[in-house]
Amino acid sequence: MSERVGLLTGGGDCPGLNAVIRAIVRKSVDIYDYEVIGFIGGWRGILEMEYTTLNRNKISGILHRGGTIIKTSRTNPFKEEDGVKRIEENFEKLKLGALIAIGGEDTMGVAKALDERGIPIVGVPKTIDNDLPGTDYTFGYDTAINIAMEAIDRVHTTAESHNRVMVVEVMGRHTGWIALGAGLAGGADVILIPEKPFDIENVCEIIIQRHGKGRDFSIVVVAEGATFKAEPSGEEKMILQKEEKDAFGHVYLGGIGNVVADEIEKRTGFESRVVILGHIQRGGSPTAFDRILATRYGIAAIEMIHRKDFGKMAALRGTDIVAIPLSEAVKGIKQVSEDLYQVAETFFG
Amino acid sequence: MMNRIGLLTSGGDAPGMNPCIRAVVYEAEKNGVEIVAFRRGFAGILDNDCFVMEVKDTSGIIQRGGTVLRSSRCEEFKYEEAQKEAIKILIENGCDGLITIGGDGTLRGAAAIADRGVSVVGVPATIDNDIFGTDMTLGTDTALNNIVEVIDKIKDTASSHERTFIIEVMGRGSGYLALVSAIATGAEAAIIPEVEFDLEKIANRILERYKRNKAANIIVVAEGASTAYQIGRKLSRIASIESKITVLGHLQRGGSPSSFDRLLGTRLGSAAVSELLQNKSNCMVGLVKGKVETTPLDVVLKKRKAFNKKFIELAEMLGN
Repeated sequence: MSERVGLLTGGGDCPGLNAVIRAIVRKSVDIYDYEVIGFIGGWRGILEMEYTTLNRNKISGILHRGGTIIKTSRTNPFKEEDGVKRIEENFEKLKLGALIAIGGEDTMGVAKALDERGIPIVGVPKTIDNDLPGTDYTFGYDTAINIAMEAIDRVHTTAESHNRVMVVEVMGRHTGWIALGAGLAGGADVILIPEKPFDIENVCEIIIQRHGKGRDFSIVVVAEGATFKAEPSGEEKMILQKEEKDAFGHVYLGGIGNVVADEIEKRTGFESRVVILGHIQRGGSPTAFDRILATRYGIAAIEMIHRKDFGKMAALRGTDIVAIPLSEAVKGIKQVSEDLYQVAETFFG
Repeated sequence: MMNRIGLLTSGGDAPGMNPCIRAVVYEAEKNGVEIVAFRRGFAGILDNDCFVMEVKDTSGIIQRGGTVLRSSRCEEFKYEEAQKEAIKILIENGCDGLITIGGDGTLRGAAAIADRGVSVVGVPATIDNDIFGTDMTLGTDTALNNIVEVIDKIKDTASSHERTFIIEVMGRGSGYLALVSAIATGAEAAIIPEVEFDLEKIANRILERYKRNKAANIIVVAEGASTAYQIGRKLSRIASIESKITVLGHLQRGGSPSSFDRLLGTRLGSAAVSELLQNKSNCMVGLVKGKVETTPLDVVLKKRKAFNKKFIELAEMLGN
């Protein structure tokens, strides 16, 4: 009898999600004769029994589209009344053989908890932040840094023409992968990341020295989660947009770019402007790299289900796709490598 | 202690060469070493066409495709006489090291003069991704994205008009670009030099799709396997399938490098200088499982890069 597999996408949308969905459905339908149902809006879909059968027609022409055709949400089943129980019941009710969760650290956290309760589940790593441990790259990251890099290229033009300091704020709550990748590729003069709390005096020093060497503009790339170095008495403080938190307890970051630009202008006298890229970093068509990676992840996930290798997540190691335990994927966050930071430092100023 | 390092780009241009040049100059300046840049590849050494390149000369080049140092294919350099002359000129210019950025031919040139009084480190740059000792060569990622963007556009027309399109991409000896772009765009077939192709099977697949009311088809062909015109003529003859032809040609190599190629160029350029300063020679720096590593040039030139069989299976399955 043919098996039924459930599929959901959780957390922030990410270019490449549709490519994963397509690959899973293609191999399920064409090769294994599985039926695939997609839950609408992440965990909310399975909690509220909102789903759709994914056949070949539904996935036609989605490979190059950003976002996710089955929607996503930040719903956390552990915060919902009887959340886990309802998932277990609905899993039974729908006669599912297995579940595939595509998402970042939060989605993998829920997946791991469900695995421990005996639900056959596998994960696919997704986040534009590239900070999920256990895998070299998450899909979406390559697209995000290309978008941010193109923005930096464009900002260069104005910075050059107007002799300005341009501060570009990019995504990256806990890690500086996007800032470092896009900053290095865009030829930024200073890159500020959460892993390296910064001293605004040093930043200004670099800019003043650079301008002293005949350059009359600078580009500063700052990750939204970057922090000032601790004051002698204080703590490393993040700049917040608002005080509220989401269902997974995350604060709403943003605004560090404004603070940095203000401080630079005040301390150096150079005219400074800020650009906050925000959600354009997640939109649009995925790059070739992300389409291929996402496709390979999707194929690996459905193969894991076929061989009943549950409780695992597909991961990229070097050039190979491997299956790693979900527990490895939720072990903290993957910070930027010191090597890469040192390469970037060569080009500061 | 090395005081001066020569630098050149040779062979076909590849996006990412400029970020690599920039990184070489920055890394050298950081270590108190001067870069002597030769124009137009090995030909530039023989013509003694060079200048001292400083950090200020690299301003604004990271965004640009091609190579600011220009490039050429230097036939003369195959002969020992020219190679000896090159070493003489390098030494006259005070260069005890040389960094070459280019593909297979460039690496052969590099190997020919390495360890004859000048240390040489190569950086692999070619959009074909066919060099042993690196998972990716400089330029491949940008070329792939260029191809994917074009096929996406052609797909819009293909599906609107329900037509079969045959798209010819670069790759004389390597089907990497054709195969991977086919997977990334959901093409119905990829025809590559590494695998014997069965046109009848492809024709049947298309006819089968016609029956399912799927008249839009994309076939990607690597120039090393066949030409788009030949494939089009044969499909017409054996199955009366009419098709439209697009030959992408040199637009695949042009344009601003992708973030991947800028990062790769930057990392490899930095590493090439570091290796020379650690007295390494006769080797190539490459990306191996995410890390920068060196491989001796004789190994690079002798071994054939293994083709990822999984990609062939994937393209086959997704093309159906």
